[in-house]
Order: sequence, then C-alpha cells, then structure tokens
Amino acid sequence: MTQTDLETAATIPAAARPAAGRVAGGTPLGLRRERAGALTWLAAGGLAAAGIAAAAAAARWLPLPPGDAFRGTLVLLPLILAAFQLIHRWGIRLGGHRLGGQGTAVELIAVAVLALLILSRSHFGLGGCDELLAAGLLLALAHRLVRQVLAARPLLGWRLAGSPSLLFLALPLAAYCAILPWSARHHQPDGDEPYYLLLTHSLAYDGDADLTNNYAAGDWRHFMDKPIRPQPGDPVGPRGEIYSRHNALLPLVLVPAYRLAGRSGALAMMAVMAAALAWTTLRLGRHYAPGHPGEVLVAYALVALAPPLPLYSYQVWVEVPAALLTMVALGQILALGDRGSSRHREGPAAETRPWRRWLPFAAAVLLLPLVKIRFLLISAPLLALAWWRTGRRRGLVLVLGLLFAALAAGILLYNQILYSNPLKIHTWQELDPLGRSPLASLEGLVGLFYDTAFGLFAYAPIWLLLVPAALLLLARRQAPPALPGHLAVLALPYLAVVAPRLEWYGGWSPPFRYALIVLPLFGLALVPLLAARRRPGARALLAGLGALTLVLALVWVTVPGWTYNLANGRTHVLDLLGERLGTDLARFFPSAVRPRAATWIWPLATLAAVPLVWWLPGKRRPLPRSSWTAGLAGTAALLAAAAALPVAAARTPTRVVELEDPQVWKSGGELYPQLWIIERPLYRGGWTLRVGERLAAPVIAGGRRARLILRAEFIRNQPVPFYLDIGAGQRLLATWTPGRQRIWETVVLGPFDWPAGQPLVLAARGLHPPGELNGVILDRVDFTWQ
Amino acid sequence: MQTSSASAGSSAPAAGAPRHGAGAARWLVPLASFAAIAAFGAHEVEPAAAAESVYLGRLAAAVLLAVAALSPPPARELGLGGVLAAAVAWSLPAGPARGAALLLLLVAAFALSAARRLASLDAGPVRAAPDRPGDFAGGPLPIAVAVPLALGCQFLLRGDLLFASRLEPRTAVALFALPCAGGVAVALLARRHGARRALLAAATALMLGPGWNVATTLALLALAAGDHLATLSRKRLSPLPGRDPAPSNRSATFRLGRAAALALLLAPAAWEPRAGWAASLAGLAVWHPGAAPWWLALPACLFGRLLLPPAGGVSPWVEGAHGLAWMALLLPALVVSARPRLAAFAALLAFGAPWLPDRSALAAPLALAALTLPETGAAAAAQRVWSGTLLGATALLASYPWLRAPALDSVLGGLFAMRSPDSFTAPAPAALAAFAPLAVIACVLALAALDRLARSSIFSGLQGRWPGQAPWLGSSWKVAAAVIFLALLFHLPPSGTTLLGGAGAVVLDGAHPAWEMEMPAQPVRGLEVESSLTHGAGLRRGTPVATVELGGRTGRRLRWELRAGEETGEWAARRPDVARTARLVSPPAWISWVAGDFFGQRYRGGFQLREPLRAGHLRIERARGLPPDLGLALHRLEVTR
Repeated sequence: MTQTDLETAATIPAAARPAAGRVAGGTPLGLRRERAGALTWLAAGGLAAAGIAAAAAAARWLPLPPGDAFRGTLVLLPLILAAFQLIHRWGIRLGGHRLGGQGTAVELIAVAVLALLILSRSHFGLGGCDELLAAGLLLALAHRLVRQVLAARPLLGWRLAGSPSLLFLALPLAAYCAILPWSARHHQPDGDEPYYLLLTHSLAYDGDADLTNNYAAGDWRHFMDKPIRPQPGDPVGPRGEIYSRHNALLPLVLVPAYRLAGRSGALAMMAVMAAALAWTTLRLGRHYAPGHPGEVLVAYALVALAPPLPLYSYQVWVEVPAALLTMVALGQILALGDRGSSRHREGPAAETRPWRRWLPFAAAVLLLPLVKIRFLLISAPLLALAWWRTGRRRGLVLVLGLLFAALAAGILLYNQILYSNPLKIHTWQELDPLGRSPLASLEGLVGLFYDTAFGLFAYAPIWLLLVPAALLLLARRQAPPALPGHLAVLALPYLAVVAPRLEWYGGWSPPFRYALIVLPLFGLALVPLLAARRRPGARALLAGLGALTLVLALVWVTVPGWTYNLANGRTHVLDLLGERLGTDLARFFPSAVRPRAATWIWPLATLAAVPLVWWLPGKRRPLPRSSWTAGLAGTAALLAAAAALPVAAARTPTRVVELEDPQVWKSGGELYPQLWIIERPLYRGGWTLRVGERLAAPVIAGGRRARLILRAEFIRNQPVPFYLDIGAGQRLLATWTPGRQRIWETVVLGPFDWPAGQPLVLAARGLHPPGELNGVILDRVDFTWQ
Repeated sequence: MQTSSASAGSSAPAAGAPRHGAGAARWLVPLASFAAIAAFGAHEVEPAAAAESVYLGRLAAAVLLAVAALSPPPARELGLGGVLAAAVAWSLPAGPARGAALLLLLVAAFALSAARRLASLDAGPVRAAPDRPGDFAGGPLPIAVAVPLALGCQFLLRGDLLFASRLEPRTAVALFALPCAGGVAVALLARRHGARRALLAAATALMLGPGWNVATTLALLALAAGDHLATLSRKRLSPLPGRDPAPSNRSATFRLGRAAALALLLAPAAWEPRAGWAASLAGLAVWHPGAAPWWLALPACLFGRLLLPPAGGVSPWVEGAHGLAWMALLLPALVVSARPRLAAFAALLAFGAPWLPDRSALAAPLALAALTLPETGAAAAAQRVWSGTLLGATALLASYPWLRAPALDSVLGGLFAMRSPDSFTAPAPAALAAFAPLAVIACVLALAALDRLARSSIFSGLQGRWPGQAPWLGSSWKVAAAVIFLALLFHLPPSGTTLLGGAGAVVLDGAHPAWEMEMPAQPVRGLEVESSLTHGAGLRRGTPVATVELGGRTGRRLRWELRAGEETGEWAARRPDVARTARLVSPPAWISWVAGDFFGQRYRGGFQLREPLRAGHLRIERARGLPPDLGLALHRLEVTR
C-alpha cells in the first residue's frame, strides 16, 4: 500500500473501509483503487465536460432575452448540477453516504418543472412571479445542501483530526455560485462595494490606485448601472489625483479574477473566500470539540448556509477576508499550542524550523490591519493569545510584536501624511470605550444581535440558539474548554470599540457587518448545545426556528435589496406588512436605532424562553416518532405565533405614533431627514408637513381618554401665522401654534375623550403667500391612556 | 408469489407502511397555517385582498390536511409546506401572483406527500395468479391512503368550491362526499387490479372531470361494484386455500353486499339514462369480462349515436371519434395492454358514450381501459410519469388563479402546443407541434419493446447475470421523465418580451381612448394582449372593442381588431348578476383574481405575423361607437420575437 493509500484509508471511517489485502477476483486493493480512481477522474471529467457543454448550449440557445432575470441562472444551472453530482461522487469516494434516489428525483423534478415554468412564465400568467420561481429553485438547492451535508458526515469519522476534506469547501462554494447570477443581477454594488470594485478596476487595468481617470471615464459602468462619485474623506493627491480611502489589499486579491471575468469574477472570488471561511470553521472544530464531529458539522452548516454568510458571498465587503484571516490565525495558534504540548512530551527534537509553522499566523496577523485599520483590534488580541497559548514564548512573539507595531505605526504615519489624520476619517474619541455612555454600548451590542434591521437573530432566527449555548458554556466550563476565553479575547476589545459607535450596524451595509468576523466562533459555540439536539424541546425549537430561518433566507436571497435597511427603526419587510395591515407592526420588534420597549423585552424574553424550551423535560434520546412530532409541534407553534401577530397589532393600544411610518397616511409633505442621509441616527426621524397638508395615523384606543405628547419642530419660511390642528378623526381636539422655530418642542395636549377606531389626524394650516411655505417636522406622538 | 387478498383494501395499514403519529401535531400544522393566513387576511386593509387571503387560507388548510393524512414521518413537506404557505400569503401582494405561488407550493407539497406515501406502500409486482390466468393480484391501497388522496385531488382540481363563504349542502357533497366515495372505490379496485392501475384509472377520470363530479365518481363506483361482484362470485365458486369459506348465498352480509354492488352498478344509468349506461356496462365488463357486455354495448353504442341529437354543434359520430381520441391519454401503455379484449371494449364504450352532461361521461370507459394496462415494465413506468405529469398540470391549471375550464385542454394546448382531441381542426403549426407527444410515445414504445426483448429468450442467458429484469428497465421512468422534459422544453410556447405589465392596468375609456408606445427596434413575430372589459356584458359576441396597430420602421402598418367574446371579455362575467343577464359570452378566462365575493377575469388574445416585422410603434385605440361607460383594461402586453 502506498503512502497515499494509507492517508486515504485513514480518512475513511472503518465501517466504510474495505477489507485490506486482496479482493475477490485477485486484483490487489491498491491497483483496484487506482483503477477506480482513474475511472472516477474520467467520470468526473466527463461530467464536468457535459456540464460545460450544456451551459454553453444554454447560453447559445436558451429562449430568453439577454436581460431576462433568469438567464444567468439557467445558463449556469447545468454546471451547478454537474458540480453537485461531482461533490456527491467525491463524497462517496471518501467514504460518505450515497444520496437517496427519491430525494434526488424530487430535486431534479423540481428543478425541471421550475425551469419549464421559468421559460414559459409569461404564457402561464406568471410574469410577475420571478422572485417566487427563484425561491423555488433555492428550495431545491437547500434540499440538496442539507442532504449532502448529512451524507458527508462519515467523512469526519468519530473524532475530528487533521484538516477536513476540501469537499467541505466545494459544497458551500457550489451553493454560493448557484445564487450568484440571480443575486448579482438583483443587487447593484452598494455601500463601500462600488469603491472597492473601482479600485480593483484601476489596479487591474491601469496598474495604479489613482481613480481620477476612472471616475472621468465612468468605469463604474463595468459593474453597475448608476454613476458613483468620490466618497467624503477620499484623499486627493498633490496634482488633484483622487484616491480611495479604502485599503487596496482586498482589491489586489480580486484583481486576477476581475481581469478574467469582470464583476462576476470578483464576486466569484468573494464566494471562494466565504466558502473558505466556512471550511475553516469546520477545521477549527478539531481543536474545540474533536469528540463531537456531528455537532461540529451542524455548526459548520449553520455558518456556511444560514444567513448572514451567504448574503456576503456575493458582495464585496472586507469582513469576509478579515474573518478568514482571523480564523486562519486562530487555527494556527491552536495548532501551535497543541504541538507545543506534544513537544513537551516528545522532547526538543520534535520541533525544527518553528518559523515555518509561525509563518501563516504571522501573515494573517499582519495582513489584517492592511484589510482595514480597525482590524488592528483583532490582530493585537491574536498576538496576545498566541503568546499565551504557545507557552508564553518570548522570542517569536516578540519578533512578531515588533513587526506588528512597526506595521501599525507605518499605517498611522501613512494616514497622517495622506489624510492629515492617523485614523483616516475616524477620531481617537471613537476608540475610547469610556467616551460613550454604557447605554450606547448596550444598545449597540443588543442591536448587533436583536435589531430587526441589522441584527443576526432577525436575519436568521436559528442563531437564537446562541442564547442557551452561551448559558451552557458558562455553566459547563469544561467543554469546549478554551472557546469562551478565545471569544472574549478576540471579540471584546473589538466590540467594545464598534458597539458604542453611532453607526454600530455598519452604516449602509448588509446585516451583522461588524460582528461577522467572529461568526465562526459563534457557530462552534453551539457545539455543546447541539449534543442534546434530540430532546423534544430542542427538536421543536430547531424545527420552528429552522423553518423561519429558511423562509427568511429565501426572502433575503431572492430580494437582496431587503437586506439593506435604513437606520430608522423599521425594515422593508415590516413596512410592507404594516402597510397592508394598516397598523404599526414595527413596534413589536426590537430596534437599537429607535429604542422602544421591544428592544429590551425581546432579549429578556428570549433569555428565558429559548433555554426553557430547549431543556423542556423529556427523554434525551426520544423515540423517532416523538422526535418528529416535536418538530411538527415547533412548526405549528411558529405558525400560531404568526397568527397572533396581526391580532395583537390590531388590539394592542397605541402608545407611540412615529409619524413618518408607512401606515400613516399623508396627503403631502416629505421625509425628514432625506432618505439617503448618512449617520441617520443623529437625526430624529420625522415627517415634514407644510401648510395645507395633513396626515392620519391609525390609533388603537387603550382607554376612553388620552393624553398626547407631540414632538415637533417648526420651520418658518414666511412671517405669517401657522397652526397645527390635532384631531381624532373628524373631531378637532386641539390646535398648536408653534412659537419658536428650528427648535424641537414637546407639546403636551389633553387629556381628551378618544372615540374608539378614530385615527389621529394632524393638519397644518395657515396663510400661504407665494414662496416657501411654513411647515413643521413631526417626530412622534406619545399616547397616555386613561 | 403474491396472491390476491380481499382484506388488503381494509383501513388497516399495510405491512411495511409507516406508522403515523397519533399526536395532534400533525393536524395542528394545517390548522395553524390557516390561522396564520386567515388572521392576516382578516386585518388587511384592502377588502379584496382580505377576501383572497381568507380563501387562500381555506385552500391551504384543506390541501395541507390531505398532506397531513398522507405524509409519512417525518412529514417535512407538511411542516415546510405550512410555513411556506403562510409566508407566501403574508409576503406577496394580493392578486393572481400570490395565488399562483401558493398553488404551486400546495401542488408540490401534495404531490410529494402522495408520492412518498405511495412509495412506502408495499405494492409489490403484479403477477397473474397461477390458478386463474388473467386475474390480477396487486398491491393494496388502504382506504386511509385512498381517501386523503381523493380529497387532496378534489381540493386542488375544484378548489373554487372553497371560495363560497357559506358551505352549502351541495358544495359539501361535492367537496367531501364525492371524493370520499371515489377514494373508497379506488381502494376497492386496487384489491384485484393493484394500486398502480387503480390510481391510473382514477387519475384518468379526474383529468376528464376535472375532479370528482357525479359522473366521474359514479363511473369509478360502477367499476368498483363490478369488481366487488366479481370477487364475490369467485369466492363463492372457489374459496382460496386456507381462507374461510365464502358466505353462502343466503347470508345477510353476502346479499347486502351484492345488492349494494348491483345498485352501484346501475346507479350511473339511473342518474343519466342517456349516457350512464356506458359506466354501468363498464362495471359489468369488470364483473363478467365475457361476451355479454359486448352484446349489450354494441346496440347501445349504435343507437346512442343514431338517436341522440347532436350536442354543441358536433355530429354524434364526430363526438364518438373525439371520445376514441381521448384514449390517447392512456398511451403509451395501452399499446401493450395486458387485456386487449377488455381494452377494445373500453374503446367501444368511449366511442359510443354520449357526452352527457359533459366530457366526464368518458370517465368510465377510460378508467376501464386504464385497468387493462400492464402494471410493471417500461411502458407502465412511462405511463405513470405521463399520467402524473398531465394530472399535475391539470390540477395546477384548474386551480386559482388560472381556473381554466376545461383545464386538460389548456394543459395540452398550452404545455404541448397541441390541440386537444376535441378539436380536429388544428392548424398546420399545431399539427407540426404534435411532435412533442409523438416523441414521448415513440420513446416509451421503444422502452416497451426493450422490455419485451429483455423478457424474451434471446436474453435468457443474461437473466442469470441480471436476475429479474434487464438493467435499463429500472431507469425507464427516468428516461420517460427526461423525454417528457425535453419534449416540453423544445415545444414551449415562445417567451414574450413584456411591453406593459405590473400591478396596475391601462384603462381605455371615453376620456382616454388610446394608448401608444415606441418599441425597441427588434423584429416582432406576434403580439399578445391580456385585457378585460368593464361594463361590457351587453355587447354582442364579436363586437370590435379596440384596434391594435403595429407600425413598422419601414412605414408598414398592421392592424387587428380586439373583439369582445373572442380576444377579450367582461371582467365580472362570473358575478352572479352579470352571469344571469349578460348578453356577451366571454371567452375562457386566462387569469382570474378574487374581486370581493366573486372571481374577476382577464383574457388573452394573440395576433401572429406571417413574417417578422421590425416594429417601431404600437397603438391601441378603443373603438368608436361603444357605450360611453365601457372601459377596456390592458393588463399586459407582450411581443414574441
């Protein structure tokens, strides 16, 4: 048996491993395997060639116009099918389970039917159902992914050792590539993305970082439809050159792929990095929970396939490469620590040329600040962790520390020269954790997880399992031993700086942006909890939260624009539902941008309810029947909760009316501040009402009488009187005559008798001479019921 | 070797069948799904949206209850189906798109649960019993499976019945009693003929209905009654070894069973004497497959065709030919029928049965023909795929928002670009387009030939190597499915480019009589107009309501007329007061939507060009001289290139 055979055999579980020696027919095992391998390679090549040929044929003959929403997806479909088939065969070859024919048939039939419906959708009156058909394809993809992940379980054996197979990288990569054409078409580069892409373009085609010519030539046309202008804070050279304030490391990585395939190439490169991050999560599992391969696999699947990582896979954000570098560095630290322990046992001879082992760690730690300056806050704790984990060795860590210090100083000096500010557009005060109130930090931290518009739990409720997982980690310190400490060392300094920021949510960005860097560790934190996943309560929770996560993932992927919310305390989805129900649904969900009762109720409620349901009394390993019954009960409970929401919205008394919200009917006026204002939390959100305009907000009476508190700011454009009439339906309750202009005033009105079912009506009146009219910015009205 | 089992059709689960959980969770999911959708609908601001939500909630709950009854553990399709149904109802704006999404989801969930449940049944191969050649033993179909299957099909195929706000007794019978009776009939038929053939017979009848109506239900009940009488006769004559002796002729149970079966056998003829005799004769043929039914059927068919007045402007002989043509639904397996004599008798009935009250009078002959099909082999597998595809597509198009009537014609016409056998005046392109079904038939015939070849002595030497059957036969359904997919792919109607679409419609009325647009300079081969009329019920059929003018870049202009009753129709044609008084007979609806307490409709008309035109301008102008309050709503415009 060759060395390769031995290595291969070591990765295959014993149950799946054939008996050693000669097999029936007299062919030596190694020779047979080689033949099988050759045949497999042949089959793989054939399959890939067939996929490419079919994709080429589809590109040539697909009866869809070039601008069709599905053209890219259908052209790529044969390749994706071939890729999944190859992954399946690869998995079997490595000892994985064979996928059931029934499931495969269901997937293929679903894909075939959907492809036919897509091609003939106008003929079936499905012209406006693009997102639905895409969601159908996505469901088939999700089905395949879940089955393939489960089928790959034997590849991890009974104990995690060594690096996992690259199959675990290929699997999420295939999924990310499958959604790429749709997502890229329905999501224009947004936030910082276009600037990274423009820099990539400049590096790829001009070989420099000077963007002057690129702005002038409109090179944004290569990757988006609307023009972009330089960002505030972009440095300007001595001869008027325009540079980007963003670092060039990520664009440099994207350059080769961009040269090959333009924007699609760059996005595919991002998908590779996202898949590599998922694979690294699995790889880290051998250090934190080597005895729980099944649970680590589930954690890997959650990180890889549940939002938010798939949402980042088709976008250009530095958080993905930064998270990858962080996890690579952490993996090296843990590996070095393990080797350090074994060297103590084996003696000094075991360790030769230690710098080779330190090289990946050093590279990762030193590259992180080059990705973004704020990742200095990750690199420094990593260095400290390395020093601690590797037996407090001074030599190499000192060298690395010096290098790191030199790099940090170099970056700061460079920024000082170029931007006249060592922190580019940021200030030293932002780094001072004591410079902000503890409440701001708390709101930021809560927001990162619970905020409806930007939080992790809102985008993938399955991550709510982190709540009982955290409790379990705190209660059982022995397993996995180091994870809470590592998480604290890595995340706390970083979060202590980003959480109190005004834009703790990352500005105009996808959800969970700033904390994405530690997402893999959150995934691994679930491992001890998942060991008890067969309990009835756990099953119910997994089914309910899993179903909700799946539905939301379908929504986020098919309508990518809905993942970008304004920082106004609402979301696109809640606005849509609120408009249809004519009520304020957002008040029931937490927002750290616009704090309200739900912002604090949800964390407390989930802190109590989720662990309680998870550890509902029951058998640890119940019968399969009660297990799936619990799953269905969890699903039914989710649906029942959904049924309760409109009822609650229609019956819970109105306490606050945010007057810019969509359920408020307006005859005119405009949003305050403007839609695309930066640093929106600096402003009170409101609605500007001018003379002659009115609005009506639905009110659910909570008593017979109500006291109203109006918060408003008067804008005087004309020296004429201005009045704001406040009424309940047709009945005038009061008239407010503002005295001071451009000052937020709090006006207490009432108490008044409030007839049930009547809306709150605010009408601006006064003289309207030619020119700009007087008006008032209306922030909110608080109701106190009696 | 498996033998027939009289107890197989009982409600006890078959051996190997999954045990269903007794917990309430299974039933809670559909109810919770209904609660989620209905609660949302009850609070929606738009009344039409609220009405649609409530209707969709009912529909979802009904189909999901059938899914709950069918799904083997862990019933993921039930849980996921419930959550996704609620998500669709919540997230999509009210209108046909939401209905289409929900129905696609429900059809998929139901098909998946049915397929999984049927696969879990230990049907086993059907073989001729050694002591009775020609007698078939098949896998059982428990009533606990057959009834939910029948109910689920009914909810999908006749889901519009759930729209009524009050459940009238007639509606309740149509929704619940007929499918329950039909399900029992299918289970009874499965005892001797096997589940596959019984289901194929039911599927064929349901396609024609569509769904369970009195004619299709009585047809299957008559067949089941004949089957039951045959079973009683055989038991009496030669009880199976080891079984209890058959009840004597004088036993009350025996007499009651025989009387009930005889009553059911004659029920179709009693219900509709002019046409029901065909169903009764079909049942008789199952009971006594000898010469007697022939002697009764031949004069009945002849006199039926000669004496009955022509219906729908078609001569009785043409109608008979159409009936024969519908036997094509059972291709390809019909050509390798296991009982060709009985199949020929079914064909005779299909020819002779008058279409009263409608085409579902053919249910009995076609179901009888389905019972003669082979249950194993390549052709049978292909037939299952073919019939399953047709039934699935029919269920989809018969349901909201399509509500096509008759749905099967839409399936054949739309999906396969061919005319249904009812219309033999297919134009040349449609005749050419018949390639698709021909390809399917050719493929499955080839498979059937391979099947025969594999069983022949030529391959006897290989049988030892591949015991049981040749290796390719295991994949025959996959081959059939792939061929059907490819045939559909190559025969899809050309995809259009939307010129006008979206949520709102352009309304042409007296104040705004014309709409026009500049078109991208690309060759145009045809134009499709989706439209509807308001206050158009008083028009005569064929009245031009608008002129469609396509201007070419070269100055060439093409004009068509949009005519009431042909290319467009009244939007409220289904509203009871309009339906009662309307002069205009609107064409079949293209898409329907919930407009309060009735279904609004829009229509599609197409205009084809003999040669492509590089069009530059499109103008649609309301015709002059129309009533002033008449409006033409343009919902969607597409050009085919």
